[in-house]
Amino acid sequence: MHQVPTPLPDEHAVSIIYRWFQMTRFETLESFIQVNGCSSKLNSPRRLWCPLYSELAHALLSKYSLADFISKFTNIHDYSLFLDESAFQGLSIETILKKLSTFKFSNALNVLQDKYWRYCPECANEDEQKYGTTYLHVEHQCLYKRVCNKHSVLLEELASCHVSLPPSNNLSILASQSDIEKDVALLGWVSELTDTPPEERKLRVLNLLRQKACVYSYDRKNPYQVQRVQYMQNILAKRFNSSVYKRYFDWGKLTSGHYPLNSSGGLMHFLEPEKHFHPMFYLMLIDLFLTRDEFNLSLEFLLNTSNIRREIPPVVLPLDIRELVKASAA
Amino acid sequence: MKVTRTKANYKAQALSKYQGNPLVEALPSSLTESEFTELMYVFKHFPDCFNALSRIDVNDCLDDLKLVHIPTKEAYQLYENVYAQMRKCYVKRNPLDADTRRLANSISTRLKANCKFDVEQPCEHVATAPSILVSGKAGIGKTVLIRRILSTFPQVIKHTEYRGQVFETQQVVWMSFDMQASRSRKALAHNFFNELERVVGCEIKGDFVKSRDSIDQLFHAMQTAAVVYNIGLIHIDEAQFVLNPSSNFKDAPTLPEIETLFNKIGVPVIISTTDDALATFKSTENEALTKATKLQTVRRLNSVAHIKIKQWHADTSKFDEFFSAYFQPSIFENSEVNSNEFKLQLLVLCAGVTDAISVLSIAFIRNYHSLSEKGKKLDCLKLLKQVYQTRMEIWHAPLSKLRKDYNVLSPKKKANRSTDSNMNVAQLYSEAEAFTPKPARKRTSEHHLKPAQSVERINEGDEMIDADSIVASYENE
Ligand SMILES: [Zn+2]
Repeated sequence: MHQVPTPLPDEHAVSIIYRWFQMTRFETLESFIQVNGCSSKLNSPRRLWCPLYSELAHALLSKYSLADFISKFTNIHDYSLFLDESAFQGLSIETILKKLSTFKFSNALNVLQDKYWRYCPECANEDEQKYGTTYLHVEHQCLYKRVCNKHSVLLEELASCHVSLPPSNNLSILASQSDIEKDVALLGWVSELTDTPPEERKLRVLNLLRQKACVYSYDRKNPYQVQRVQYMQNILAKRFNSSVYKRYFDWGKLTSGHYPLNSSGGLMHFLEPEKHFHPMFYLMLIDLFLTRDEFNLSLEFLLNTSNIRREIPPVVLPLDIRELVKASAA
Repeated sequence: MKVTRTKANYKAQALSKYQGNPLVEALPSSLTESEFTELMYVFKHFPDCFNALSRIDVNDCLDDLKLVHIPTKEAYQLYENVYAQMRKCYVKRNPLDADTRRLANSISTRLKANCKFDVEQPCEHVATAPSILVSGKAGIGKTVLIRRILSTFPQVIKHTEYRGQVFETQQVVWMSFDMQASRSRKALAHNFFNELERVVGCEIKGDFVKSRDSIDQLFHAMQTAAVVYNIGLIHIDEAQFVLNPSSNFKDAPTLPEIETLFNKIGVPVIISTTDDALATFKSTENEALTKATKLQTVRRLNSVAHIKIKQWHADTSKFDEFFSAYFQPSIFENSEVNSNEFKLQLLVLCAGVTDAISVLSIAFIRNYHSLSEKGKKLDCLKLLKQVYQTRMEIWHAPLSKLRKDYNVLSPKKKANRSTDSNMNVAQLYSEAEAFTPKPARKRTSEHHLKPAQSVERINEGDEMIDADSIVASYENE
């Protein structure tokens, strides 16, 4: 068996692979990966699985089962938060991982958060001192995080879209209070959702959001529904623009009537359970429109998972149409 | 040689500097002299029915005698040095330490960048490890001794978990390879990687070496691999091929290069070589004073331990043990071979060199057995000399040279000896020299192409002894 580097605390698989590559004769990571029989690039955390990880997982098998490996050394669980796992039912774990290695979420809307590998400059300094090398942390690649928990500074991106180890001695930027609070709020939602059975998470959330919009099955020919959804889109755009969310996404201002809210059904698109959007979209919608109490209340009711379109009993009040008008005009 | 692999079993360390280092804690506990000696002994006892065995079975038993090993007092001295240095150097290369990662990084960076291999440049982050020098006459059994000592350590220790943390690592405790087979720098690198692959049991060369790599890259590659696989000690055998590199092999790696290769990245090295090569090396020391590296090498060579493996001498308890491991009472009870004269003649013929004694004794016993089967009355001394003549042809020139400086009597016990036995001893020497080599049998061995003094290593040729020809000559007289 190959001698793989000993994982450092919270080290991401990609970083272990990189340090493994460092100890070889190969000049580029790509050639190293290719020789080991894989062609996928490791250009961003969004690349959920690289076949070379399997080799690494195999080398660490004495201590970590494949499942343990996935949750400890990768961010797959962040991404599978809203993933409808029925898509993978009956498949072997190898097949699932193979699928994940080429997996893309629907729609090309860009989430900025996980486009590049990220690091905390302060952690990098400390790691260099303590371990003699910098490395990529699993926690820092988390898609809903902008701030290093330990140092309260903004996470930095690696300059290129290739993997490398973080530079040490880079200056850090202190995170603002609103950044820190947003990270905390999202983490709260994530742990709430994690406690919910995986197959129910998205359905419950979408149900509640539809209740807010007061549309269960959107009918483009119903002018009342179209109007409501347009108001909702306005509100979404406003809330997005005035929040710290802009920083999490690659697009600038969100404007109703413009992509991705250009069609009357732009928002409704996000609310279709069959679609798999980037989890960051769902998190943003949840955080902008729902409260934790509302979500908890919905948990009192059983969800009929055999009919994903069937709503749970109304637990949230729809946004009042007059308020919608007022809010979107303001 | 079979590779021994064990799972790491961490032992509490008495000294605090050795605590918290998985590579040190996984080493076997050090052996006391008596434990060590017991472990080192190899006897091959003949069965009681030896005389009734078939010829094939007899040959089988005799073949086993080649494995006989009687440790001398230098053995434990060497063991202690090996143990101490290995542990000391592992302390500085704790894989959980920041500096060890820095060292590995700076070495592998040089490998990737195709940097020049610089003998002068000290390595970052780690102190230079020492060399242990082992010298002795050709055939005295240096290789066997060192490898047997190394074999008291597992060769590979497999770690999986250390102090609750995953630690999936192979520790190659030692490697031993031969400069005889590595007469060029490239050959050295390839022998190194072939041996490492054999030891770790998987193909790893591709991780460190590409075809057409430069010498510099090959050297950096060896360093990187030595760090990655936590090599604890490297034994370089037959170092005479690098001590005096000018002579035959122009592209041979030099000793300073080998030292930079391993010592500078914190891997201690055992260098074993013949006395002759060392003497030449030392005598050229003065004329080479300007060559700073050579001088440094001399200093460093002497810095830790120089262990000289001595020839066997008569009247020592160790030799008696050695002798009776071959000439076992089950066949030699009340035989002439137990006489002092026989022992002395054996030693003189072989100049006290282990390998020669072993080969000659085995050949003697084979002939002795087949002759006595035929009911011959034997003159053992005569038979010994005859066997020497037939069997030791290629050994004669180097042995004859060694005999000149060899005193068969143990230097310490000289005073007690009677003049009478001294007389006999002188005669034994001339008996040995009376040997006239027969016209050389057709052999393609390279030893025949070189003058005797340059034979630095005696190859054990195929066992060609033809007992029947001796039997025949015995009958003719
Ligand atoms: Zn940090």
